Amino acid sequence: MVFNTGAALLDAIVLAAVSKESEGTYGYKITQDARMVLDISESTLYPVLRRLQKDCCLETYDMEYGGRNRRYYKITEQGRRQLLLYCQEWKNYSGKISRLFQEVT
Amino acid sequence: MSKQEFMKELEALLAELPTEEREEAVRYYDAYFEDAGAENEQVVIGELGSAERVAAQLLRDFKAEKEVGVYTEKGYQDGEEKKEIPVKYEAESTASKKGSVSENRQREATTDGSGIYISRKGMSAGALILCLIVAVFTFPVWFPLLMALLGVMFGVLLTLAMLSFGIGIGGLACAFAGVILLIVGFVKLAAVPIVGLVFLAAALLVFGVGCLLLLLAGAVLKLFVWITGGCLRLCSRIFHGRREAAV
Repeated sequence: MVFNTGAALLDAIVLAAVSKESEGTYGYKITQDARMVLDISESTLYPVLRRLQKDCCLETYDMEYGGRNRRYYKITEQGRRQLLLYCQEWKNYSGKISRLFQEVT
Repeated sequence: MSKQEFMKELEALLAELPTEEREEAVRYYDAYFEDAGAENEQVVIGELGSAERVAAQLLRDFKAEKEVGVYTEKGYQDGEEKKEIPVKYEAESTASKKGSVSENRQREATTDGSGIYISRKGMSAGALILCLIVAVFTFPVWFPLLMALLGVMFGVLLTLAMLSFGIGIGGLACAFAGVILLIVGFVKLAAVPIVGLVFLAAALLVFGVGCLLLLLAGAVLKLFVWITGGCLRLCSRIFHGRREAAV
């Protein structure tokens, strides 16, 4: 993509991807979901997950799957609030830019 | 390169991370490979790039070193400031989004009472010299005041400390006396019951007073700690502010 994706937008996308799954979701799936909308490298996701977890926006739990423990990520209350804030900000931000772009012929 | 090689290399490269962090990361990528399926092993390795790249990103994140700056609605932010994400949820209520740097400084300048600490931003060299001259000429006025203030602070703190100490000792003595009286009371109870009861009553009373005094001493001590902490914070802030101004 031509435009840079900043840390906040990346956080927002990951939070949104995780929040879709009420039971939580796992690293590989989050990456695939995020890559549906954004062309990001697979290696950028882990640091984001780690940071969100440190900020108490995500919590983890382990559950067995196919004979091994898989780590699931789930959004927390705080994460939800943060995501709402991001969504609001994004609406604001993208709306203004879109309006400006519409005037370009 | 195979998955095993990749993981081995990654683990080695992350050696300087704390064990817990390293294990978490290794575990994550291990699971990632598993979830992607054996048939996609090479694809994943290709996507991840090299183990060096993955490790470098983690190490950099861990050290919280400067990251690539981002443009936000508040202008360009470089890595240092970005450590807290541009718009943090909690930031809304506290300090309403932290404001710009200058705003913050001005707030500091007004909150800590010392007049020497004038807003350091946007001050021309002339104004600075003027301030210095004024400061030098008014030295006979503000220096004694400053010293007096320091003296008063010191006196108050010392009084509080001594008060706490004194009350504490008193409380301990009372509690101790209570225990002694209790023992005497029990002994007397066997011989002359009435006298024994009087002693027991006195013991409980004295012991209770001792406990109250100890509580009071604790409260005074807390006040002392609180005031001392406040003073230290104020001093460090002034000091820190000056150092910043010098830069």
